[in-house]
Amino acid sequence: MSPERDWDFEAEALGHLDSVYRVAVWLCGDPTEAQDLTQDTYERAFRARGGFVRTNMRAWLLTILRHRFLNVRRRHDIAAEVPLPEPETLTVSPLPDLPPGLVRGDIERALAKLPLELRVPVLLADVEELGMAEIAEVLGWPLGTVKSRLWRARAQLGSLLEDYGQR
Amino acid sequence: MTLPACGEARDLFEDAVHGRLEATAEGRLAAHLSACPTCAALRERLDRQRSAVAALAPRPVAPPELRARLLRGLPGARRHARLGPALAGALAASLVWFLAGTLLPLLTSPGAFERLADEAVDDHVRVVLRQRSGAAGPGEPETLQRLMVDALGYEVPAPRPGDRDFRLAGGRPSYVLKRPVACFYYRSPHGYASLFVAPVDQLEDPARSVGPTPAVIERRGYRLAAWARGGFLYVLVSEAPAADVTRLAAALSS
Repeated sequence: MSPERDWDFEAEALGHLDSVYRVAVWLCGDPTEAQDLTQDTYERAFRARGGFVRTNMRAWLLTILRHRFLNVRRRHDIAAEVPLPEPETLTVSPLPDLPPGLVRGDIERALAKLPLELRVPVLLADVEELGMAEIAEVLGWPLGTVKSRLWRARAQLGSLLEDYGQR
Repeated sequence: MTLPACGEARDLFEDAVHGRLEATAEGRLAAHLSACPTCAALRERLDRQRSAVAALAPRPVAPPELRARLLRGLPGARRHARLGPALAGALAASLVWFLAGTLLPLLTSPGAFERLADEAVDDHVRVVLRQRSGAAGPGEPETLQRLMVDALGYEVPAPRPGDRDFRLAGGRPSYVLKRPVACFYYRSPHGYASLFVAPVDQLEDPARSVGPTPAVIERRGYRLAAWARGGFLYVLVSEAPAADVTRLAAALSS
């Protein structure tokens, strides 16, 4: 890759550092581990820059992050993915409305109670503003799995927040 | 037009939020929602949840030491460290000239403001990669203003000191779209920001797309805020979150 392409690549990759670190924190749940995972991700990305097709840099970096996360988890014999039975249709779970007066702590606690495979797609959709296809690419899931898990996540999140509103 | 079933319509909810649906799907969804109060209510509840999560979910940002560690390890940073600051600066300026004058027009035909935004991002990153504040050293506004007058040959307003997080840290003359411009440099515990300032008559084409109030946009993973006021065009670039850039832009433009 030519020097100017190097420069361009590095600039754009570093522009997504906060996103990559944020998702690392969501996956690991530990800021120190997330820093190591993020650094590992960028080192891999810079080594693999020749394979980057200029489409969506952030999705590409987050896909590398997910691979690195799964590798680390497998090395430590921690279950990286918990298989979930898929709902038959998207209309199985109702979506409760949000009660008034929710505060930051309510959202944080409700998100923390969701299992990882439901929490991460919600955060990717709502905080990182990724589309369904991008989430599928980043998490390596079929599009249907993303949709059903996201719907299930929203239903569970709604129930948890509804409970907080009845305190 | 045949209306989609409820299941099909709900399948479109998530991608409809950020305008990712094609016009046909968007139209079919809108038609369904106007005819189906159950789905319309569901869509409203979904939107409220999305907004609450977006506004209230924790948003950790990369610690400065992680950013510094990555910058030190970059192939580009090592290359420029070997070249030395002066030669690296000359190379960077040549590169901007080459990209702006030769490659960009051939590869793409973006609008004038988009080209300015791209070059501003490049220059901001160049400063961050060097990890230094530029030629002026200490960040006294009047010192920096005098430096710019000497270097650029025209007056620029003295830079504002910053906001509660970002503090003025330095400045240097820069060169974008083949025009000499002032670049002031702000530092916060969480990142950096570069403010480019030039007379509107020096950058007439991009200035046409900019209003008097800062508007924050995303460009290649960076946040940019641009505004034109008092005959000067201002472009602020940072990797900080949009809320921080909005706040800093408000402080610098007030």
